[in-house]
Amino acid sequence: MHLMFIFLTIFFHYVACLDYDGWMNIKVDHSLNCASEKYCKRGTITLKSIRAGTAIIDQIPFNRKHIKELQELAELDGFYTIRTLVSTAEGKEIEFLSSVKAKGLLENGLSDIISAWVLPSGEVIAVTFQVMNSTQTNALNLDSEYPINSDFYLRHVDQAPVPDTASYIQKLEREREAREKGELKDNRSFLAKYWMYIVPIAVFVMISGAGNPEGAAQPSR
Amino acid sequence: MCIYEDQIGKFDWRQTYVGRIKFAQFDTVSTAKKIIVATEENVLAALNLKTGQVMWRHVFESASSGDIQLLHFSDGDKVTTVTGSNPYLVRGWDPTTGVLLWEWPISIIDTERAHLSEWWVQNGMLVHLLPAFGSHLEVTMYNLMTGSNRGATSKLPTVWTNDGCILTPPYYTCISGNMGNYMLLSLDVTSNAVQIISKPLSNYFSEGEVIEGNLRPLDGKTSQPGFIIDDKAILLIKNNEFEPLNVRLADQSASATFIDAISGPMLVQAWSDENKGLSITAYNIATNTEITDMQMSGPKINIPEAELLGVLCINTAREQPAYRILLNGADDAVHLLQQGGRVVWSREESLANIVAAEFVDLPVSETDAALESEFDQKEAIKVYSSVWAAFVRRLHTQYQQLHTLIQNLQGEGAVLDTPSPLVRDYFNLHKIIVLITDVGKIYGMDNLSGEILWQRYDGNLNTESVVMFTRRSARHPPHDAYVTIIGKHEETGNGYVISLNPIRGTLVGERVLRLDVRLLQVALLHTVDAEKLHALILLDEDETVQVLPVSAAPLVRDLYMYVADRETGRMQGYALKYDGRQVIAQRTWSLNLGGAGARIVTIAGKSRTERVHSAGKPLADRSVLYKYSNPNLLLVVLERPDPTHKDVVTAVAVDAACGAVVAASTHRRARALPLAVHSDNCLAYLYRSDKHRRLEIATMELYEGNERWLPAGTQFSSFGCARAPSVERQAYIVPASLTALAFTSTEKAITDTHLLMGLSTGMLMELPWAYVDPRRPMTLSGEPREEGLIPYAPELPLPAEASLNYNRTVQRVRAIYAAPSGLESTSLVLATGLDLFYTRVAPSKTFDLLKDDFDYHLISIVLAALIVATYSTKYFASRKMLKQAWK
Amino acid sequence: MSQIKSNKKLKWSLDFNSKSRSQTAEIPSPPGYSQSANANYTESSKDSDSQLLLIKKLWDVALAPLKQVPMNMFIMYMAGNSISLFPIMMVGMLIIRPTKALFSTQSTFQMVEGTQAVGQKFVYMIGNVVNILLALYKFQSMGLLPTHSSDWLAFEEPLTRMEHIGGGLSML
Repeated sequence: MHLMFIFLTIFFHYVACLDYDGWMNIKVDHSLNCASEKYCKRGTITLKSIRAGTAIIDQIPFNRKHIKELQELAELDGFYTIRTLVSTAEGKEIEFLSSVKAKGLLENGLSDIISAWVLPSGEVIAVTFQVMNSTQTNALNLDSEYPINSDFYLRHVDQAPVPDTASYIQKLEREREAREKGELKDNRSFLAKYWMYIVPIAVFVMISGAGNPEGAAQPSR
Repeated sequence: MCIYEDQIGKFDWRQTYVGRIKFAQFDTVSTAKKIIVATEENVLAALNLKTGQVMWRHVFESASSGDIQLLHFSDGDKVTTVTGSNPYLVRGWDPTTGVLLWEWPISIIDTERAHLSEWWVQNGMLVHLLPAFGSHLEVTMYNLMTGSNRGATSKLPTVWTNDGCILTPPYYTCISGNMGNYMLLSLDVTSNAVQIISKPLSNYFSEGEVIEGNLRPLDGKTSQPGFIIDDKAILLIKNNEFEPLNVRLADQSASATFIDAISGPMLVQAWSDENKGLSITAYNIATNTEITDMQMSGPKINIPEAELLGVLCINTAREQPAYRILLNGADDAVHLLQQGGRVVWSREESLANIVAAEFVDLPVSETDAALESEFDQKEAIKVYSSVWAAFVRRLHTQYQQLHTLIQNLQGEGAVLDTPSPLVRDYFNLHKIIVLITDVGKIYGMDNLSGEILWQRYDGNLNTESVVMFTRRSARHPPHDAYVTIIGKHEETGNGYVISLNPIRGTLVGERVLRLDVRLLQVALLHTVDAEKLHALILLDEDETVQVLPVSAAPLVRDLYMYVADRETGRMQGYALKYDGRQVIAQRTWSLNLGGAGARIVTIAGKSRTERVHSAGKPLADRSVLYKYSNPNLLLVVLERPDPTHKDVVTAVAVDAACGAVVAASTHRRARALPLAVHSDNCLAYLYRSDKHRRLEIATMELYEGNERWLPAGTQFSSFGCARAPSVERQAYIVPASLTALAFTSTEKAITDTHLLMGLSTGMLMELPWAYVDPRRPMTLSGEPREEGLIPYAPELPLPAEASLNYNRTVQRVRAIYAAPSGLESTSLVLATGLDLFYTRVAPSKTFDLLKDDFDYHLISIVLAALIVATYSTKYFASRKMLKQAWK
Repeated sequence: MSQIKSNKKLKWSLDFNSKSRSQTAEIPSPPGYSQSANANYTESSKDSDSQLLLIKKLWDVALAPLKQVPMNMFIMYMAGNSISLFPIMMVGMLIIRPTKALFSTQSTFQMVEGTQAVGQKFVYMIGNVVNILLALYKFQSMGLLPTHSSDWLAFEEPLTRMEHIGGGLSML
C-alpha cells in the first residue's frame, strides 16, 4: 500500500509536469457541407484528465456530399479548414483554426493526426491537424459512409533545463580530489610508450646493415 | 578576435553621435572654441566649433533619471547641468576636459507636479520654479556650487498663471483673461519686491488683428528676456517694462533669438520654406535697420523646420564681425552656418537612432557585366545559337578588355580626376548600407569608409514598425537596384510605401505611395517577374491583399503569411492564392500561444538569403545526425505573469506555413529579453532568471535522427510532415548583461555561425556556437570527444579577446546587423546604438584568404634567386665535370 | 720488377708457377677420358638444368608477393591507425608496390617459356591482389574509405522548398 503510493507519485511525476489537472473538451467543426453557417460540427474529443491523456474521439462519418466537396477542393488545391473550440476546467472557450490540404486528406483515406499542445498550467496553446505524407493515392470506394480515422496526441510543453551548476561543481571537486590523491595513469611499459620511435630506427638499421655487409662482402673478394 | 596595432582602422570604423540637440551654448573663452550641447539622448558633449567633431562626451542613463533639464554655461565659468526627474542631480563640469567638478542632489517633495519645474541660473544661484497653475509660484534659490539654500521657498501669489505660461528668465510671463480681453502679465520671480507688469494684449496689435493668445519663448540663449505672441509680435522685457520691437516675425514657423552683437542688440530670425529653402534675417534693434550680411535665402540648403540653437558673434581682425549660426532641423541634423549662408559643418544626429539597416550589393562594372552575360547560359543560348557566334563574341570582349587596359596604361600619365564610380569589387566586400532612422530619414552609407552617400528625409514616415525589402539587387543591368520601405503615415496611420534606388538614393518605381488603409503585414514574393523584380504583397487590416506592381498578381502562389498580435499572443496564418482576378488571403490557422495574458516579446524568423549547407552533422561513429531544416520555422518567445511562479517564459518553434507547433519549452520565474536568434536548425533566446537573479541563454537544436525523413533532392512541404523532430535543449549562464544579439551569416553557410553579442558595457563579443551547443556532454570521453564537443560548463566564457571592438566602445548598443560578403569566410557586421561600429568577422578564421601581411616581395625575390641559383649551379657543375673528364 | 726479384732465388725456394704453365700442354689425359664427351654432357645438362632452374626461379618470383603478406601484416600492425606521416608512408608503400608489380607483370615474366607460364602469372597476380586487399583493409581501419553515410553527406542535394512565408508582428 505504501509502496503503491510511492510508485504512483513517481509515475505521475514522470508522466507530466502539470501544475493543475482537469478535464478538457474539444469541439471540432469543419466547413464541409454546411448549409448556412460557415462551420458545422464534425465531432468532439473529450479528455477526462489532461495528465492521463486518454481521449475519447467521437466524429461523424463523411457521406458522399462531403467527399464530393473535398474532391472539388482538392482539384483547386484548396484547404480543408477545421475550427476547434477548446474548453477546460478553467473557463473560457478558446478558438483555434487549422488547415490541411484537401488533396492530402483524400490521399490518406481520411486519416489525420490531431495534436494538442498543453502548457504546464493546463492551458492549451495549439490544436493542429496534420496528415501523414503518404505517397499512395487510395481511390476511395463508393460507399455511403466514410469513417474518419483520427489519432489524437496530447503534447506537453516541457520545462527547459536550467544551467546545471551543482553537478558541475561536484565534478570539479571530484577531479581535484582525484588529482591530489591518485597518480597519473601513464604507467604503460616503456616499449608501449616509445615503440613509435624505436621501430623506424630499427628498420633503418636493418636496411643499412643489410646493405653494408653485402657491399662489404663484394669488394673484399 | 585579436588584431595587430597596425590593423586598427583597416577593416573597421566607428562613428560617435550625440543625438538631437536640446540645448547648446557657445564657449569662446577657452583656447579651443567649442559648443557645449545637451541632447534628447541624455548626452552632454562638447563639439569643436570649427569642425563639429566631438571633443568630449558624457552619456547619462537612458531612463528618465538621465534626462537633462538644464544646461547652463556662462563665460569663463563652468558648465552646469541639472539631470534627472525628481530627484534631480546638479552637476558642474569643466568645459575643456569634461571632468566632473561638483555634484549635489535636489529632491522635490511634491512629486506630481515636479515635471512642471523650471530651472535657470542667475548670479551664481540656481533658481527653481514650481508653478501651481491658478494659485501661486514656488521659487527656491540654491547656491550653484554647494547646493545650500536659504532654507525657505518663497511663494508668490499669482492667480493669473495657466499652462500656457512661459519662462523668460527671470520673468514668468502669462496671458490670461477671456477671449477678446487678454492681459499680458509678467513677474520677476527673483526680485524681493513682487512687481507685476501687466498690460492689455491689444496694445501690441493693430486694430482688426485676431489675437489668439499663444506665447512662445525666444530660442537659444537670449541676452534679453523676450517672447513671441501669436507667432507675430515680438516683445522684450526691459527695465520692468514690455518693449515691443518694430519688426515682426517674418514667418509663422520662424524661430527667433536675440543677441548682443558688436554693433548693438540684434534680432536673428530663421525659417525654412518648401520653395525658398532656408532664410535667415537679422535686424539691429538700436538702429532699426536690417543687417544685410546676415540676410540669406538659400534654396539649396535643405533644413526642414529649422530651429535656431544659438548665434555667435565673433570679433575678427577685419572691421566686419563674423557670425556663426547653429541650426537644428526636424531631421535631427545640426548645422553651423556662416553669415551669408555657407554651411561650415553639419552633423547627422539622427544616426543615433537607427531602426533598420540593410546591406545592398553594388552593381558590377560594365566589363564584368559583359563577361557575366556572356557566360550566363540561359541568355547565351537565347542569343547565340552557334559555337562560332559565341567564339566571335568572346574575341570581341577580349579585344575590348585589351583596349581598356592599354588606355589605362596610357592614361596613367594624366591625372584622373573623375571619382571612381560605385562598382562591386572582386570579393564583394564593398556594399552600401541603407539605414532608416527613427525620425524618418533614410541614408545610404558606404560600408568601407562610413561616409554618407545620399540621404532623404520624409517627415511623413512613421518608423514605428518599419520594414525594408530589397526587391531587386544591382545584379541585373539595365534595371536599377530597388529597395522598398514600408511604414506608417505619420498623421493617419495608413500604409506609407517608399521605393528607391539604394545606390543613388533616387525614387524609382512606385516612388512614394500613400495607401488609404492601415496595413497588417507585408511580404515579399519569392518569384521574380519579367523585370527581375520581387513583387510586394500588402495585407491590410480587413484582410484584403494588394500586390505591387499589380501586374505581378498572377505570380502569387505558394505564399503564406502570418500575423502575430503582440498584446495577446495570438497568431494567425493566411494562405494567398490568385483566383484569376485578384489575390485572396484565406485564414488557414490560428494559435493562442502562451496562454491567457501572454505577451509576445520577440519573433525570430530565418533570414531570406539563408542557405543550408549540409543536411546533418557527422558523428564520431561516422553516421550522420540529420538536422530538421524547416525554412518556414519561426521562434516565438512569450511572457506571461503567473500566480504561482512569478513570471513564465514560453518559447515556441512554430511552422508558419501550416501553423503547427514543432517544439516548445517553458521557463518558470523568468522574464524574457527581446533578443532571440534563429538560423538553420539552431534557436537561441535570452531570459532573465528571477530565481537565480542572472541572465541565461537557452538554446534548442532540432534533429530528425539518424535517418533522413525525406530522400535527398526532393521537395520539402510543411503540410506533409506530421512527425515531431527530436529537440536538444540546454541553458547556459551569461556573465554579462546583453542588449543586442545576432548570428553571423555567410553566403554559402560553409563557415560556422558565431553569436554576436552587444554588452551593456559597450563591447561587442563574438562567441562560437560550440559554446552554446545543447549537445555539450557532461563528461568528456569516447565518442563525444571525437566529435569535437566541448565539455559542459554552466557558464559561458566571455574572454576579453573575443571582443570585436577592442577599445572602441559603442555606447548603448541597440542592434547588430550581419550580412554575407563575397568571401565565404567573412561576414560584415554593423552595430548600431548611440554610436556606429562596422567591422569584418571571420568565424572560421580567414580560410580563403592569404594572411594580411603576406610578404609578396620577399617570396618573389627568394624564388627568383633560387631559380637563378639552380640554373647557374647546373651550368657551372656541367662545366666542372667536363673539365674533370678531360684531365 | 717482381720477375727480376723472383729470378734472384734463394737456394731452397721452389718456383711452382712457371712449371705449371708449360706443363699443361704436355701431360696426357687420363685413361678413359675423352674430351668430346665432356662437352656434350655439360651442354645437355645445361639445357635441362637451365629450364628447370628458370621455372624454379619463376615460381619463386610468382610466389614472392604471397610470401610478403605476413611481413606486410606486421608492418601494418606497427604503423598504427592514426593519420600521421609514418603510417601514411607505410600504407602508401603497401598499396603502390603491388599495383606497380601488377602493371609490370609482363616485363617480369618476359623471359618465360613453357606451360607453367600462365599458372605462374596467375599466381603472381593473385599474390599482388592479396597485398592490395590487405592495404585496402588498412585504409578501412584508418577510416579513409568512404563507406559511411557521413562521407557522402557533402554530395547530398539540398531539399527544395515548396511553401514560402512572410509576415511578422502586426503593424497596426
